Amino acid sequence: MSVLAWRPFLDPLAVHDQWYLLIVPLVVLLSFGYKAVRVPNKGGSFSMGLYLRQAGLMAVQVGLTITLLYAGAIVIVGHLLERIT
Amino acid sequence: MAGLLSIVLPGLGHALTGRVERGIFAGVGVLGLLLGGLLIGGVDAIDSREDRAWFLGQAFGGPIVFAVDAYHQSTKAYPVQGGRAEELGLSRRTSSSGPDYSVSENELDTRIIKRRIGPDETREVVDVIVFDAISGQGETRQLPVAVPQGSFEAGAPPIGEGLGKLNEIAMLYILCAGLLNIIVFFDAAVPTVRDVGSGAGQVAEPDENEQTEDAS
Repeated sequence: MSVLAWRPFLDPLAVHDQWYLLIVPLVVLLSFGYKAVRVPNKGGSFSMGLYLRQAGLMAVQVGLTITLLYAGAIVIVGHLLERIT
Repeated sequence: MAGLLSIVLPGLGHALTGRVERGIFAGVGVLGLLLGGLLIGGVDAIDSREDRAWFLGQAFGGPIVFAVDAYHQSTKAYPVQGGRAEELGLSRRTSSSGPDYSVSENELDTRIIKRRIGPDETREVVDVIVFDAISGQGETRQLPVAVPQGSFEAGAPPIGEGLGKLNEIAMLYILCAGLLNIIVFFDAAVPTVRDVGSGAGQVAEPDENEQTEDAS
């Protein structure tokens, strides 16, 4: 990764080979942001334990789903379509 | 009111209505996605002109998105079908009426270029009288030219253009921030029953599994 003359928030990052790793913070931030407003109260007040549990579970579910879709796309495009054509 | 505050700053509506924890975590989620997208893709991740479809969703991220887009539009390099007036061979007319420039068609054909305007230029469309080389008759055309000026600081390099998957992921980050902020907005404006706090006479709220069982 080259960071020569890179200006944060102005220029794009040069991490083209590791782009898939950026899915992880995306999923985590999305899950924790979503569950912040959707997690139910427990005992009449906001429960940090319940929030962390549900947000973590959602992050894992979304991450696994994306990974499975990626793997499925590789199988279909890279192997099945090759046999058909 | 709380909904509007959420648009101004994600999570602020929740915080000011007493749901501080939810406001903080929702704000961290939305702003984290927003700043993460900008960190990955730079300001090119928000572009209301070239990536309009993306911007329609990103716009729900609030004033920050519009501010970044305005900054980006004022500093980016647009493709123009022409360079500066002198590069195109345009002659400035002294007449106070009519178009500002004139040029012969042959001259224009040989000099027309396509390039991006630089950081110290802005794009401007000018009226030009183009004279036919044989008949000598002129017709008025509009030509985009580069005019030397701009808000970008002198000598600074132009802002890099996002490419490929990284640009898409950066735009996706900010799109998710905008869409998530819609949910935050509605939750701040119209709190669901499950958000009612505890107090005298209030019943502890059931969790999602219990609600599902009740519904069935």
